[in-house]
Amino acid sequence: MDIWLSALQAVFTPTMLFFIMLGVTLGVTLGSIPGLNSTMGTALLIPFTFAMEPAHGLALLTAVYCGGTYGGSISAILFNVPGAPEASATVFDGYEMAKKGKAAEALGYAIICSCLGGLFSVLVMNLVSPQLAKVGLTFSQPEYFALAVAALTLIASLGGGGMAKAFLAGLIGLLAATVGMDEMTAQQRFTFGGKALLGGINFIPAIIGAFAVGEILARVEETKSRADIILTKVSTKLPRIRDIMKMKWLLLRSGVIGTAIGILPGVGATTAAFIGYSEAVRWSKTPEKFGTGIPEGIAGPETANNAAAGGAMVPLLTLGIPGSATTAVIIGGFLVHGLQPGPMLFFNQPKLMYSIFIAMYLANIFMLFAGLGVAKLFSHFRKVRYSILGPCIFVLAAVGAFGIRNDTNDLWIMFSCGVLGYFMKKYKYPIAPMIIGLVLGTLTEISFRRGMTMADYSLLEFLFRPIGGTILLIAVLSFIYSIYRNLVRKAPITLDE
Amino acid sequence: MIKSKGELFFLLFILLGAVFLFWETLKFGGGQGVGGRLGPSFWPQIVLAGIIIICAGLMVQYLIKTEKGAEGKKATLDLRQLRFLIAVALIVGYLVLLPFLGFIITTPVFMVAFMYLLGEQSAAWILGVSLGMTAVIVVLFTKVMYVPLPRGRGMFLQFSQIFY
Repeated sequence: MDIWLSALQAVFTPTMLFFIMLGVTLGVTLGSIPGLNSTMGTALLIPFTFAMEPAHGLALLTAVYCGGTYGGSISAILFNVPGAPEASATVFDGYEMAKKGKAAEALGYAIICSCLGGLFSVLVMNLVSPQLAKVGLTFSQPEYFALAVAALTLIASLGGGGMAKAFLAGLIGLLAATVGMDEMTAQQRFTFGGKALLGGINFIPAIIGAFAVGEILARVEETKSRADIILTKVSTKLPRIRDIMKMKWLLLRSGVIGTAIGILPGVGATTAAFIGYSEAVRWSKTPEKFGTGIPEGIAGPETANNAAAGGAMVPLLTLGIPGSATTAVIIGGFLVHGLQPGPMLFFNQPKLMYSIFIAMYLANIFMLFAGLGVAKLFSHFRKVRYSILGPCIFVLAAVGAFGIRNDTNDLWIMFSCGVLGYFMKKYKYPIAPMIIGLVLGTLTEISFRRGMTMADYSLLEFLFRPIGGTILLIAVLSFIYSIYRNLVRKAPITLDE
Repeated sequence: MIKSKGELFFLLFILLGAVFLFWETLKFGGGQGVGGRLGPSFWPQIVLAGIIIICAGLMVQYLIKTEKGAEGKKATLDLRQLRFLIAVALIVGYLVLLPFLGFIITTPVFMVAFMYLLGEQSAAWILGVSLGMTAVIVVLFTKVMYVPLPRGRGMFLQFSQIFY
């Protein structure tokens, strides 16, 4: 208890509060601009934190991280361009809500759910960090495979009347994920002897292309030059407590999923967002409404991705293993102060550790205010007519795609996916399954092949594991149920329709 | 269910592409080597087989229905599609020229042309936004965040280096 009081005293100082507020605002702003993200922001800020006290510097970095995870949803909702990879799943329903003139509500749900997801994960982080980290370490390839399969079964739920089209889109995504050098054998696949595709198809240019460029190309065909989306002033409209309470189980589930996935090393907030979305669809009584612009479609991924941000701090603080790219950068923040993240830090620097916990609570609360400000700033752009906005979005999308690896090949990937996205949109093929396939493709393939090698190619040994087997069984049952439900009801469910 | 000939061609394109890529997977080595029994071609072949089956199924379904009398919509080139093709050509031109001319020259020219294509008529808006947006991106990405943008080659490189 003394250590908590001591940490509270350290955090509630004007300087510390200023750095947390600054970090959150920077994070939200960076996250909302495609091509810039919190990983880049934390990397650039590390040299500045060198001159600060360790608690101030680390609070600043973690605040940027928290804010950046939410920030991506702003441009995802307003412009159909995810500002950060974590916001990719938010596009599905967020932009659809914006098209219906409910951008303010969509932004409100995104910010509240991000805040709640973040707070939940920080609570979990400081209560059960060491225990959860141990569970995460028991996850092996079959468990990762089971997790990926569970998320991929979402495709069946999104198919509905055009299930074959949804599966085709999902398979195209899985195929795109195989391009490049095979992780296990270093064999070049579908690179045609060139270097352009050696690094594979990065999913950010692909997402930007399929959604943003596809949308722009579709708009070009329209004869009218004015935007058909509502041009009224957009200001974030926070949901009522009653509306939030209606989603309490969804929020809790997404919070748990996000935190748990965040704890697993190498499986970050983006995967958490997609699994959060898939579980929101799976457990919903009206899955056919997902993709048409409903708050649940925002709440699922936004709660999960912000919860994953907190979850990713668990292995970092307790074991010194980064749970995500940004936490890997944050390790640098510890090291510049001569601190080695890991279990010993709780014994040697307990006040610092608890100060970081409290700073993350505050960062998630401050995010509410910073998010409102940045969203208001961005919403002004929606009042601009599409003949002006369209080219601006394209250039921003191009810079965003280029900025990932500073590679012009990514621009061609963006363009190709844009043309594909245009035709898929035109012929009513859902784009979401393709993106889900692309994001989870490598994890699915590699965990399966590695797992099978570990199990000496015994499929039974690979499948019948306590945790992995249970996840897989639930996934298969829910997959069968989705198909059965769609065949029996013949409900017209398609994500893009 | 396919509803037009345009969609049929779209599926045919995917089908032929999948068949070609399946043939490519047969060239992958290392099946029994480092990767073990599940070599590098194992997963892509499963995925491609799925794509081929679904494409073929959808196409056969369409052909049977049209034979029974259901009229498929004809694929024709109209003004809307012409605008789409011009937009695609503009984007291709932008992406081709970007590495040679650099971001700072190519972007405003592309934006002016694209805005005109989308029907914008205010010259002040077209020029102001094109130049303003390019300037904001150059400052934000290269000066504030140190993210490099394409500079071009030869004399265009020298021109870009004046700004970033």
